[in-house]
Amino acid sequence: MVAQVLSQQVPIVLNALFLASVLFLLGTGLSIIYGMLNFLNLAHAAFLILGAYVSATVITEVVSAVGGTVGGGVLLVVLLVGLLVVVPAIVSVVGLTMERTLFKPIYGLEDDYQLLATFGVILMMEDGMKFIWGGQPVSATRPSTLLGGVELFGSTFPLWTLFATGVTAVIAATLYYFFEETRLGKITLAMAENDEIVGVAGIDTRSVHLKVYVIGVGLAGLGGALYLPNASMTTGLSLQFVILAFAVLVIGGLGSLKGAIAAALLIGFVRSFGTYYVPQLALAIVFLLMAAVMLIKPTGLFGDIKA
Amino acid sequence: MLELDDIEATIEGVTVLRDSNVDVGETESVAIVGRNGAGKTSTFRTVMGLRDLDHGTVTFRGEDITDYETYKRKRLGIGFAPEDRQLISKLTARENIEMSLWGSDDESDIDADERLSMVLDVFPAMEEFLDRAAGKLSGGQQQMVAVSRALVSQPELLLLDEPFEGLAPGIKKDLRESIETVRNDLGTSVFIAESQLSHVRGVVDRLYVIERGEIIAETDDPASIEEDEKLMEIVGGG
Repeated sequence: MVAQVLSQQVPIVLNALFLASVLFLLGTGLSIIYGMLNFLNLAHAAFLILGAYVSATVITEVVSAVGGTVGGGVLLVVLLVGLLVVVPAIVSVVGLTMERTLFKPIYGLEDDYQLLATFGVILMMEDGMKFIWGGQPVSATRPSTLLGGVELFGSTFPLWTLFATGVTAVIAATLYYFFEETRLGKITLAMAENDEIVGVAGIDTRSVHLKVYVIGVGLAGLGGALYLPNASMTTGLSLQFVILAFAVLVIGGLGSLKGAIAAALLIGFVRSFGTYYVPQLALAIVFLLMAAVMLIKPTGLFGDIKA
Repeated sequence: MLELDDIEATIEGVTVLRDSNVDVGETESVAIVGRNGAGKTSTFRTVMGLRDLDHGTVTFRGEDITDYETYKRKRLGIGFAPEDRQLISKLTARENIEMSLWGSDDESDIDADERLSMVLDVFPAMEEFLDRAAGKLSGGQQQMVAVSRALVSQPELLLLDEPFEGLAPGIKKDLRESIETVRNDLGTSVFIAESQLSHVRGVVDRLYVIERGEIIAETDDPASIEEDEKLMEIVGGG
């Protein structure tokens, strides 16, 4: 009886952790970019979708190039390097190009103009991705099948979900170290509070903006790379992801790493269990949670920015 | 050292600086005094590149810096302690001060501890709260940190915007002595914005009076202002 319940609940928990990981990577990037650049970028989620599409190509190309000549272990290592390093790098380069050409002119505009402009960028990016990869959903599960599964309570669970959670935990710890211990991290925190005074201190704020922006976009790309081996992706998911990313920001609190972790976990679990038990209300529960946090603590669970 | 020539600036259609001419010489101590909103902060923000000019030029050590970004002006040797201190609340007092060294061109040649000792010589009281978060410091403590942040990179020109605002009388006296130390011992030129003449009396060599964005008086005998009733209405702080 217990084994039966656990075999039913464990996949939901693993799913929750997996979704929380992807949302953390997406939401943290959005949060630091919004917190520092004051740039409300709806298109941020499109970089996650782009990461997934680029991952599909990387997986396909790597498998076709070396899949038949090397063993499964080597192939897995090559695929992981591609997903964890090459994909975020490619997405960052695309993001950087867009920052220089499309986003830079809209910094400093009112939030509503930024929302409208970046919504347009979502549509543009989605159409661009459809043009390159076609309109069909993509999936590429080879890394997950190579990694295999683990037998628990009579059922087999994919190790990829745990792997993705582990990678995200390492990223969260690295980000914590970055903000607490490194000079660039402290400058980032300082700029989120008062970027003018950071310039007065002689720091080239534009250069820091770019570095942090690239980190944020790279995290979204990594989110897409971790997502794809476990689930299919389609361009139409941009809006759903951006809404969830904003939910992370609102629930966790702007610019708070601890808040992003807590909010991503909360949303991941609420969404996963909601999808299993009340699928028709799964998304609505997330918004109810968001509304409750806004009513009780408008600055988010860990936010200290004045409302 | 610093020259502002015919500078004019507007904010949302309102002229905040009107054809103003200001200069600060080497190792000189100068004040710009006027009522709140007269244009003192706008003058300093113009020097730092934080306010766009409609026309006019800003020259520092003979170099036209009118179009330079703020961080470049600081790296050229202009330190700025803005109004309201503007410390980063999440960072410690030490980190707020050292931040000015992080942005130096010659950072690898700078001994941060030595520089910190230098500002501690000016403000010995800072020793006890260096590792406290800046957001938890008192107004006087924050002022010491704000001035130290501007001073630690050994600027050739130090801009102090309303440095005495909100300070207890004892701390005001200490700060006046520190400003004199900075000028006399370190050879730094000092440019102070103040709303009350009494705060800078005896501290500065020269003084400008600003009213509605316009320089209406300049004197190298600040005490002489006290004989002018009309000017005293403006700079008396009443």
